[in-house]
Amino acid sequence: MLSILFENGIMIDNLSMFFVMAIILVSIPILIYSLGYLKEYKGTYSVGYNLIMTLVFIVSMLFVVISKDSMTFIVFWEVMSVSSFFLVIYEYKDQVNINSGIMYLIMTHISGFFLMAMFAFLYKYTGSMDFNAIGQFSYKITEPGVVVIFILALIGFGAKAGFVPLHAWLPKAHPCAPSNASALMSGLMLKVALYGLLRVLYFFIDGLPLNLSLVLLVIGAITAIFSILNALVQKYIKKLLAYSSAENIGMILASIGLSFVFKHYGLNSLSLLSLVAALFHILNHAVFKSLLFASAGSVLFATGTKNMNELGGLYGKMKFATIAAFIGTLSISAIPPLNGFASEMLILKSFILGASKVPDSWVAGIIMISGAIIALTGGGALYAAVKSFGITYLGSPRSVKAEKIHKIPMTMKIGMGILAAQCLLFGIFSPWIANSLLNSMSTLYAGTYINIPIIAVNYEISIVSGLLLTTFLIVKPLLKSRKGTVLYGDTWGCGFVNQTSRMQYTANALSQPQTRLFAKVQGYSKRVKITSLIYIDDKVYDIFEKKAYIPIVRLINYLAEKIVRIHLGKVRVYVLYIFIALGATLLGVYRFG
Amino acid sequence: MNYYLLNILQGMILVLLSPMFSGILKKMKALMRGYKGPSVFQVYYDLIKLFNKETIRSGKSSFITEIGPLLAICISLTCAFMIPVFFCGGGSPVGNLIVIVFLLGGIKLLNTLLGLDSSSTFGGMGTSRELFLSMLAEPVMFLIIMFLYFQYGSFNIFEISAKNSLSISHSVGDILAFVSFFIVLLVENARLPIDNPETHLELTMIHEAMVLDLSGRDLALVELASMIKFTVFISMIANMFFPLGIATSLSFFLLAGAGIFFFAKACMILFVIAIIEVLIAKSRLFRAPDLIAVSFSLIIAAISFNRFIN
Repeated sequence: MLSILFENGIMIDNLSMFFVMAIILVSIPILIYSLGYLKEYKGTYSVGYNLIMTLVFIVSMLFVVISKDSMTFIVFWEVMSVSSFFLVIYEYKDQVNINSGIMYLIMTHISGFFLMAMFAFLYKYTGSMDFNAIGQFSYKITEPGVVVIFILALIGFGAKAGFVPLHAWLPKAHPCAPSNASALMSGLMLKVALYGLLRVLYFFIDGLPLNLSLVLLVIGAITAIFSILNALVQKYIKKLLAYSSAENIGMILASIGLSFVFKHYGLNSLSLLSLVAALFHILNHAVFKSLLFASAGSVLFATGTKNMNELGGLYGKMKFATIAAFIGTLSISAIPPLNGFASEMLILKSFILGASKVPDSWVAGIIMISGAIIALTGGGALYAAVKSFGITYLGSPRSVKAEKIHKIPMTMKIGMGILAAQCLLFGIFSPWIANSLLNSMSTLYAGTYINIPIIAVNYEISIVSGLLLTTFLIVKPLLKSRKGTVLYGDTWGCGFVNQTSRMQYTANALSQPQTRLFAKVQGYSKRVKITSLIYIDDKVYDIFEKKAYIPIVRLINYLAEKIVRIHLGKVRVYVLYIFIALGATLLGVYRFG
Repeated sequence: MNYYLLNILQGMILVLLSPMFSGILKKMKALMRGYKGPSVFQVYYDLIKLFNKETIRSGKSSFITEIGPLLAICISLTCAFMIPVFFCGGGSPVGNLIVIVFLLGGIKLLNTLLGLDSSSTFGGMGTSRELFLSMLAEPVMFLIIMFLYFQYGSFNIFEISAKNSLSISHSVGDILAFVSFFIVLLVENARLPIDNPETHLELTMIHEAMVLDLSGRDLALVELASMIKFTVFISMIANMFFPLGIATSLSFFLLAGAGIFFFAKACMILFVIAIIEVLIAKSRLFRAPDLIAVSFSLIIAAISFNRFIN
């Protein structure tokens, strides 16, 4: 069985190879981290169950990206979905987790359904399930066929990757899963969905029309801005991080869309650049987001709470985890020379180059506005990163939970340390990585287009990191030699002496100013009640969930109640139903087959 | 090799001059208000005094207070070496605008974390306000970089100013972009009408609130970093939009002339800032987005003039 799989089922080209590398680079540190992290669950839940599911999850992701035909792809895709579902409901004793798990399962089935339909359509046009053959016969796909396949792929992969409005499961499932699983889901599984999208759009469709490319670009920009605005008002760390993952997916999607726009105009080197920007951001986001989820997990491990309003002042007790989280924070807020910056710069660069090179003004206008939205998203990401790091780790403890904390095991520290080192290295040596990605991806274009001008990313980031290091090495000893002592005292309270930790800004307070502008998008509402004390009560909901999902669920419930009436409980009637169904199917095959 | 040495030299001059620019600004404002004001070198004395004082940190602070000021000064020094001051010939391997803008964002990140570090109420206020405003200023900065790329075909600030120094006339777009960048300068450096750098009024301050709990050497480093950041912005605005007189080749007279030109241009920009700060009162925090929106519309108009109408 396995040998058949290895002979016929797998295929490794540059794109697969890249994703295999990303999966391995992230999953090894996360596995090491899991060994320590799972100690928290000893006694209440089965540790072995989690480890086995995690392994199945990782292996299935690996097989998804190297599978060679639709069947293998779908089978491993479903294995991936189901194993991650079992990880989401790992803490099954809490009803909230079961509810979000079921939502995730439904979304994942919607995704699977659309993908099967998509592969069926591909089979209809090209007559093959083999990826190479589909690629060869892609010219047979008619124009309406391209549109249908595009929509099916967008919904199928989008439901998994979290494109707005299909993102609603993401901020529910990720916080419920144990942190090692949410690190893998957010860091890798979303990227595997993007792999599928890239595979279909780049290899199976012969030239995406301009309008559809712009759809990708616009959906990406909307996903990015909507998710980061929602991330800003969350008070649970993992929920904030989950929204921020959706934001990064949006940025990557926008960059992929841009790549197709350029391809349409024959600007192949630019198309290659923005594809590489997207791929590089996939790798970088996988690294720093798993680091941040891992450190959120270590906070959960140490304090037992995910609510930032109860945390604070963790630095004193968990120094290593704090510094790792600090590196992750620098990276996600795109500070040079860390890896988050390296890819964000490429994305912004391709937006600017695109707006200047694309001949049609209206397309250039769309690119310009999307670029501005992506830049606003970058500002929001800085806001959210400072909120999640500053409130959680700095200041003084806001509750007893944050004071009495458990020690973190060594294995967790090692896992986070490796990821933090990757953040630094992928940033400082980013030009080399980007250039080798450019080289390996240029084969994608070599088949149909011969003239690929040689483009390369220059070594500026490395030079800047060298400069930073040099100034640091010069400045530090200069300051050492200064006389002057360091004393420690109370925080300055403007004359007020009885300061408590309740007087600090909370997570909700920190994101107050921007709710004035964006409350409508964030579904944010607040109520202030003044009695002898002042109470403030603020609520956040996802507007898509409230305005779109819940009505649909209600509609389905309503229809189900109506349909139930056909159950009369008599065998004759059921035989009649079978007969009618058979007749309808035959008619359908006769008519459309 | 000479070029690189010169780039390092002009960076050093920028760093050394930056406290003086703050002094000049203060002096100008004092003269306009009709009093004598401190000497322009007073800022140096203040910094030296702070350097030699003992440092008191909050007992609740973390490693951010220990390394934050140090990292901030390193980032601002690095930025100072990445931009042209009076010489832009020969180019430079560094000087990508995107890198510079995000590096300066690093100072902002460190400052905001410093605000949260000492667990004081004021720090949190400053942090949330600063993040709110800088989030909105980000797209404007992006569009300014886009405008400059459309105009001069480069991201490198050395090349931009070398190319711009050759052109004689300025288009409408240039002027609009200049005004837009000027507003961003006010926002990013916490000047009036966004933030009043002169007061310590808790209810309104932004920058001061974040560094309230620093003292001695830490405070000196953070203040110096902010001054260098301010000077870097002034140098950017002077050399990107009006590189008149900037030296593009190595000759002593050209360089000396360029130095004088730069000083004059910087003083003019400071003069405009001084006028604004004397005439205008600080606006409400929630009126500040309107100002940023003005800047956003200006840069959109500038891009439309140059990219879409011609």
